[in-house]
Amino acid sequence: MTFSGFPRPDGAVGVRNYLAVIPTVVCANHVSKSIAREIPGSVALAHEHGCNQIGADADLFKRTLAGLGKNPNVGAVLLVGLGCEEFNPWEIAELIIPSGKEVCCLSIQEEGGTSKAIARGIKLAQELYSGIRDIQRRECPLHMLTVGIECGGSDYTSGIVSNPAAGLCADSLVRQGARVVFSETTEIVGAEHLLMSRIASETKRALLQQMVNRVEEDARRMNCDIRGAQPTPGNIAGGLSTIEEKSLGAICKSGSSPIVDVLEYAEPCTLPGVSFMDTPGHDVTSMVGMVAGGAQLLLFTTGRGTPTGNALAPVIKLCANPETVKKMAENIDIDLSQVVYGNSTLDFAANEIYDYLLKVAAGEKTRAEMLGHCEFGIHRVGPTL
Amino acid sequence: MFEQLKQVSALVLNEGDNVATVLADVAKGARVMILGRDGRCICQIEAKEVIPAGHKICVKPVLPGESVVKYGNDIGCAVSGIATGNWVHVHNLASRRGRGDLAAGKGGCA
Repeated sequence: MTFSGFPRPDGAVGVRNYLAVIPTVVCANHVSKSIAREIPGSVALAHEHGCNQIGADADLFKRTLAGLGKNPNVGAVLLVGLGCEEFNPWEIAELIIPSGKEVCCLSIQEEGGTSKAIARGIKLAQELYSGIRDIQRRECPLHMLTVGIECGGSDYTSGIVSNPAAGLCADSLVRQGARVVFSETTEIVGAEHLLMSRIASETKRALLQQMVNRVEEDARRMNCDIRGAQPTPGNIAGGLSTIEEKSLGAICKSGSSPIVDVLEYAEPCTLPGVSFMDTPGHDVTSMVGMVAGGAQLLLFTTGRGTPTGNALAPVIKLCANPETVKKMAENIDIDLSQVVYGNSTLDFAANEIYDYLLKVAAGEKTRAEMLGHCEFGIHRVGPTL
Repeated sequence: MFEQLKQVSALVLNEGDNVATVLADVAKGARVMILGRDGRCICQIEAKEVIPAGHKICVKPVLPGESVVKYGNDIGCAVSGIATGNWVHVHNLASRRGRGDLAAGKGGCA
């Protein structure tokens, strides 16, 4: 099996061909967005961070920006900094350059303010984009794909139909040698024993246990029952009563293959097979973590309905709730509601997802892309000082 | 009235489960056909109360403190006795996990 993608200098393959304009600090958001607005094929990854961060939180931030720059859907990178923050653009560029991509940097203080920085940025972005504009797609083996699987706005249909169908599709991808990554540590609480049984390495099992323990430690530190935030009010209205119930349904999206790796947020996903990534249950930051880890495509199961997209990777929405597929039809790529009533099967649904995924890889736009959804957010693990 | 009492189905995901997921809104007194994953009818149960579509109906009685089981796994504990035909949700089912409130001496079920 093959898919049609954009070859990159390091041998990776993109399913999209973006120029990423990445602010290294929140203060550079406006300049970055103003540059990207002028260049077709470019996308600005505006965020709220990059200043007064320390330790593991600073490492995570740096790893995320570098990972986004390295993502195969990105052909070239423009990094925009202010000039006084701890993550200067040149430092992030060093981490992206080994991928063989063209990377340029810009400092607003050095350029002499907003207008000059925008003008210089547009010039640099035009040069960068002209270097990637004419890259042609070519047929590439399926093992070049990394597919992230997310669930959000879950309800009773998620655990019964859309997650198991996504899981069967994940199994097919793994058989083709592809990488599959799933995430959301809170949403494995109560189901972690089932994941542990799929992990051969004792070290990786211990790492997963630590990640789960941290979620419960956070709840203890806050003196809170996580119910109300996990499951959310929407999950609860949709029939999910406890985090255990939500988790047991959520993990179905990872299929049944062995879990070959347990990754930190935004850590590169390198091994063929299924990997788990430590992210919060927050859909946007979870997907950004997986994309920074290398995912070129995202499958997203939903029950209640969510419009969320991603700035760099196409997001494919799967939904089995019959009310939602009617009410939010424009946001749903694949309607799986017939499986709920037994008029279709999970195997049929999984094949449908797989075929559509290859079309999207080859350039067909998802509903989220057509509607202009390009949500972006980076997880934090420490305070802003 | 007659329309409201028509039969609806509910899905049991694993043999050991004591709850099933109702696939449409269920009226009080409605006969609910309990189906296995293969679509075969396991039994019929009378709903003792209104149950919204996608929520759970109890198919085997659960004592207070006992586990509610779905997917063949523990999804939390019953905070009160739950009889066959009852609606099972946040009012009578509590998480055992993510309960930082219990350490602080709040909350009930552990």
